Amino acid sequence: MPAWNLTAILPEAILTVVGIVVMLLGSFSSQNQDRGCRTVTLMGLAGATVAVVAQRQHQGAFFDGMFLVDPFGIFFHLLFFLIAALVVLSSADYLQAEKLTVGEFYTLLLFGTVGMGLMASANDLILSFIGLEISSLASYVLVGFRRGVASSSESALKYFLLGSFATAFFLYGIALLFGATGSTRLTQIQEILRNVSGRATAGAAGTVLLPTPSTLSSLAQGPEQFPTALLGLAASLLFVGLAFKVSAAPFQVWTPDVYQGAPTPVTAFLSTGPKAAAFAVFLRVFLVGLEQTADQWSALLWVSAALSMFIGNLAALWQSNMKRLLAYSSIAHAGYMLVAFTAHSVDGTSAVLFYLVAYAVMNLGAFLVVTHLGNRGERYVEMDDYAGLGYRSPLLAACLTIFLLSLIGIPLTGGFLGKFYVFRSALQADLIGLTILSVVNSAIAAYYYLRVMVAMYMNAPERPVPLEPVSSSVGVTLFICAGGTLWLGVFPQSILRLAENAAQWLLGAG
Amino acid sequence: MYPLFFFVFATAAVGFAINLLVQRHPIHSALSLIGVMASLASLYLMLGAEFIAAVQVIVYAGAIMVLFVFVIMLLNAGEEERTDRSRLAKYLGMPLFLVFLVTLATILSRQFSPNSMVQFGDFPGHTADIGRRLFQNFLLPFEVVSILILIAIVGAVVLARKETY
Repeated sequence: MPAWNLTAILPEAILTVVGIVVMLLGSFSSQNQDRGCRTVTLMGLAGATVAVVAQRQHQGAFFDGMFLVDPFGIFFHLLFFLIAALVVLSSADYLQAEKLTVGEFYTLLLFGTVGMGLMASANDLILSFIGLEISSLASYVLVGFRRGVASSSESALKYFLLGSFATAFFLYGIALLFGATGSTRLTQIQEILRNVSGRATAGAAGTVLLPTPSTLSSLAQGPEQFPTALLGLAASLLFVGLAFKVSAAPFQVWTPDVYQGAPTPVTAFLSTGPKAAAFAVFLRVFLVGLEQTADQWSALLWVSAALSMFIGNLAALWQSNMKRLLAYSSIAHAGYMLVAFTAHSVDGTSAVLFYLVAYAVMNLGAFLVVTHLGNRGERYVEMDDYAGLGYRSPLLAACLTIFLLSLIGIPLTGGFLGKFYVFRSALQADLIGLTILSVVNSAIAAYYYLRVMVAMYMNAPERPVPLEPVSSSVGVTLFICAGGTLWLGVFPQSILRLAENAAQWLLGAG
Repeated sequence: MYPLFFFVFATAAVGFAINLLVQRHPIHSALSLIGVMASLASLYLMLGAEFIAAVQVIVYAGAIMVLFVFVIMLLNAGEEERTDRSRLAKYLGMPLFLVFLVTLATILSRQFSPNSMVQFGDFPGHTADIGRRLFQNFLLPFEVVSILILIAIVGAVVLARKETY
């Protein structure tokens, strides 16, 4: 294997090695060596980030075209490392309070990040699938990490069973796509389908169908006519698998239960990291591989986007548990991103990428406040527990207010610009109905976020809720999240340029 | 001869699979699963995929089923209790599943005309080819699977270990 192949997977290799080191460190050291594990983990993430930045000079396709180092993959890698670093930084206090083993927690987080990185860069459905499985398996275990708590185990089991079921759909979709085109390489599938439709428009009317055994030997040439029904079936099965992972309706049923039962830092991770990774695969599969069948799947995305927004926002109206509320809001936000996805344009794709970054910082921040207030055993996660927070801890309340305002989409926050780009790209693609629906949904969503703020600033506390002082690591993370949310809202150019670059590369590459 | 064998094993696979779901005792379900695996292995063999057929028997019907049966016996799992299944699943689940199955069958049968059925030896890929592909073209996924297995081990330890404090 030539040495240059290793530079392509250097970030993943670093994280894997660091993950193993942290695992060993955790098992050999005593209980109060948590800090060492955390430092090594953060250093590993920093090293991987440096490797990704260095990779910008060595772009291209590696491992027989299976692994792409391109602006799109690099964008997602940086996002994943940011998310993982913020979760690691903020979860130390939680792990200590809940008496959870630190080494395994960070190891699983790192391995999950490796899987996410593979998903973002994979140009082959087999590799996407394995990356998806790695990140999912790590998530299943992380969700059930609080073994002593019944709800944690329950949600882990639910997530595991439903998740395996969804993965089976994804795998079946891959098999059918292979049957229709004779390839699992996304760029190759794109080319094959392009050739087929090119020949079809040239007027070469034929009745030959799929790769029959005789044509199977010449796989690269592909079928001579568009196997529309089979491709549609493959696309819809792939859609089921991926929509489950991004928790888009109608495959969102697991989200509230799993998000509520999981340890809060894990919920923060799940709602940002694996979701973004699933979107990366989503975009690559549908905008590159299945680009030619866009008129088929765009209707599917349209319906799913509208359903996700309505189900997420309407159900969130009735929630009193903060984790559940944010879980439903997460479904709705997946819907907004699908709106931009439906636009099927460079603007739409860059809007999805920008939204993912903005959503990551604001949602991590919001969950961090929930983690901190939840206290030992996550006892204080009801909305009533937030009553009077504005007076008892003005700084914490101010941070949560920033995150909630951003989730609503108030100007000067990242959430506003994210929504703005989504709506703009949807309008440019003539999706007027869908744009109206998403604007209506933004208005509905404002109600339940404002309810939390009203509780914080206007209500008197009903029962005494202990408030621990904010430790330095949590404080730093909160500062990064709040600062990032505002920064994205005021100076979006740098991130937006990266996102546009990535989107242009993805759509113009083939 | 070939279609006859195909239908025998295909019917066996589907029959065992249905039996697996219907049986109430976990051991009976596990034994049906062995039947499913064995029938599938025969189908693979008929397609000329001898390596996959052998792996199917050794890994699935052999190793994994032993583990299944072992766990069932260790837990001394008795007959399962039927809880009141949800109405939604009862009245919506089955019809939707049938719709899905029919759609799948129609599309597949329309795409592949009956006379284009694969015969034994149609596929040139033999064990050596699989090895070459696995260690050359698909080297990266092959190596990455080791992380997957490592996560599974770590996860099992994390979730099943005794409390130490």
